[in-house]
Amino acid sequence: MNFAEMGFIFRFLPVLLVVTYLTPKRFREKILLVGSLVFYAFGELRLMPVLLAAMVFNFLLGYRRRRGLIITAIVGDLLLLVSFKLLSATLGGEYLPLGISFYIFRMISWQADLLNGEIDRKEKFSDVCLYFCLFPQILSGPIMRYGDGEFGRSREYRAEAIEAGVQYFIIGLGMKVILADRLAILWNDLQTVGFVSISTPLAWMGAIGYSMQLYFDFWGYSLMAAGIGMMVGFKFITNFNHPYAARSIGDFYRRWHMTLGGWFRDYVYIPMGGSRWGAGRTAVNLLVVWGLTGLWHGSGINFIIWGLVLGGLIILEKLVYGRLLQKVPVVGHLYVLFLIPLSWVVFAVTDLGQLGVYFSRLFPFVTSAGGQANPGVLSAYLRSYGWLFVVGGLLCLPGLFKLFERYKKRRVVTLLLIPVFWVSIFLLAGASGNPFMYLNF
Amino acid sequence: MIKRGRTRQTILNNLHKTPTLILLVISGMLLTVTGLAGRKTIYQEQDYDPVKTPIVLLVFQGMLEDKYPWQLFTDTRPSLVLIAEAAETANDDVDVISAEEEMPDPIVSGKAEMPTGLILTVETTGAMPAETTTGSMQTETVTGSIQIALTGEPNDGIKVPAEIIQEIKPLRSTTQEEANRYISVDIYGTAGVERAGEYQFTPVQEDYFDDALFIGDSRTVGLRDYSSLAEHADFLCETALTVYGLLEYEIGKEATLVEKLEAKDYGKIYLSVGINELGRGTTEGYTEKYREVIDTIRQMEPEAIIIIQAVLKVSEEKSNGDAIFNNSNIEARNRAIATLADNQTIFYVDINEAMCTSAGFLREDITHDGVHLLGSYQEETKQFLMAHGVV
Repeated sequence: MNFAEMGFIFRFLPVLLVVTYLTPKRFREKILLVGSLVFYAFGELRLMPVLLAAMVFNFLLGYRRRRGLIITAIVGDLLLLVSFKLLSATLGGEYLPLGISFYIFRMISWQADLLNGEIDRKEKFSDVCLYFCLFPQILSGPIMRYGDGEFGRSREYRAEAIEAGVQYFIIGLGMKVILADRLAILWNDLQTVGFVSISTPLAWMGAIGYSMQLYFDFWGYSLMAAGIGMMVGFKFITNFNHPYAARSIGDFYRRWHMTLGGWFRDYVYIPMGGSRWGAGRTAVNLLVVWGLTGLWHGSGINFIIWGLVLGGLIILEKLVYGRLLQKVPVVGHLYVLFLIPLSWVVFAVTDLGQLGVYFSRLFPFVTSAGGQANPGVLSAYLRSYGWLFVVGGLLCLPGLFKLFERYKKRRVVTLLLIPVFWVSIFLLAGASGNPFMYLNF
Repeated sequence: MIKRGRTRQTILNNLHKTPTLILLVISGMLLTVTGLAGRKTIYQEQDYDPVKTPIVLLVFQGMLEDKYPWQLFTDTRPSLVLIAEAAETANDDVDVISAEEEMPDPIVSGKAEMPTGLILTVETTGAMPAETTTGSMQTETVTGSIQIALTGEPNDGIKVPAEIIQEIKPLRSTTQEEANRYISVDIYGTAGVERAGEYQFTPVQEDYFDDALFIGDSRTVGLRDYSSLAEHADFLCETALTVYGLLEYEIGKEATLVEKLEAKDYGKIYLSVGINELGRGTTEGYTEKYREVIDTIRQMEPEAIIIIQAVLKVSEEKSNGDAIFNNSNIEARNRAIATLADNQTIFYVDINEAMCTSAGFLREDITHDGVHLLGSYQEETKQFLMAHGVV
């Protein structure tokens, strides 16, 4: 079950909200815990024992705050994550428990925060469990910190927060369903046709479209997650901050999937010494962090290349041309907008041979292979997807979202959001209502 | 008591702070009422599982099929359920497929009781050319029952060759249970493909396609976009096109089928639909609709030959993992549409010969999604069609 599913929007979420708010405040977190486990069970019943065992294991080793036990727990968590990643890489994706990359990272984060003394009060088992499996975050993040969840304190339930949560949820849903899912068809089309046959303009269109697809899919998901969190009394968790407005790759990744970047910064990069021990050591640290980031995303070679290339670029920015990018914003923006889509292509194409083909289409002067598509194809794609690029491009500018933040309490915003919600549902109805009926070939 | 009263008061006091939530709930309720109101009328043909999906979905799915809420007030059609019930009463021992728009004749009229053995009914309405029906036909192990009708006179002013048009009848009909499980049933056996296979095609040159029109779904779109065929032939195609939609709306934002045929006289008309129809309707309904499309084309282009292209099969992985889009269903539908070919003006070509493995699966190396050919293999489709000309 994910957030953009009928069963979630019309069944699970309303029921959970009603039950939560009908329950006295002191029991609400227990309701959320049960709800979160039910939510997880809908998606992954078979490998749910892994989650449950990891929850108990982490609490038992962590709650006494003994250094040795905490380090054992962290090592155990890493071993668990690595073994399942290896298992799934060799035997197939069905051996990877749903959301494990995220819940293990939250568990490590809890242990590390305990170790660093960032969690000041003694916590209850149920609070820690809720943190580990909180349903809006268990599948794909954001990787909230335990401290940000304000567990065990008297939580405030305000009507304004619920309203804001609903609005964020709708915007996120719209981004995912109206933008990302449509753009996904373009990328899927290119794969179906085969990269050999696409023209250079189409290859660029695909790279940019995929960049937007990934962004709106993930940002939309993060907004939905944050919105749901607000509906049940949590703070808004910022996971994206207009990355495509960044002026360097380093800047980009301080704005993209911020909770993951923050996790690697606080629990890997800084403990390794960060940038305190000279240029050489900084470069090594960055490469380690980015190599791990690549591995975290997937086990294919392409993910490691993706991570290392980004790490390499960030090192160059730190040591060579970072200042230029900051001084001349135009150069910085163009640099980001040129390199990031290329990096997403590396991220997207898992087969190295195919990756080579795609780059030969992007840069046809490197190889002589000619595209075979008929000339009408590009204009047809532009007609079909042009509006998505325009809307998506506008949403990549920070201004539009800031406008929303400023006027979100106005009635006009409400009136605009209602159609966004129902249009999304309409599109979902086409996709999921009767799956085989509306599949398009 | 006091506390509960206070809670209620708090909720009421806060309601105005959540306009988006309230509007969502109200609009959702309105749509639910619409769905409920239309369940027995405009939405009655839609599958609906109240446990899994909200009732508002009926309204949206309806809109996808051009049924809009305001039709609640204008819909005067008799209930399809009633029709089905009436048919059931008339045919107690026959499984009636309820409320299928494409309900085929044999089921409704009770011809399903036909024995399953080989029956050769010969009806003559005119002079019978001797050599065609004798001997070979009767001794062949044809798995379908064949009815041969002779038409000496053209009807509706359509030019029909004064030769034999053989209508292959289904062996059995789809049962209710099969229809419920969206199985495309092989009701014709191999009679159609065997007869169509008797025709000897001729290799042709590219200019053969100068007066050709290709009609089809995304697979035809691929042929248009990634082969050089479009330099010669015209195309009327769009992704997700079905035989049910062919006569209904503008295709590829370009023209309706009728408009396209009115604009130019075509010598060859290639049809390639059928994958999107899997899971919709029955083999009977599909075949009937296909026949109607062919009849329409025939009326508008009396001189043209019509080439029915077999539905391209899917890859092994796709076929084994998909309850609907699998080769068993495709094969059933292909065998059905093959019966429409008469080898005189209507022909059936089976591209699967060129694109499939010996086990009958689309080759994995020429497809990414298991359904469509890679663009770089569309030229092979063209070559195959060039080897299968009708001269």
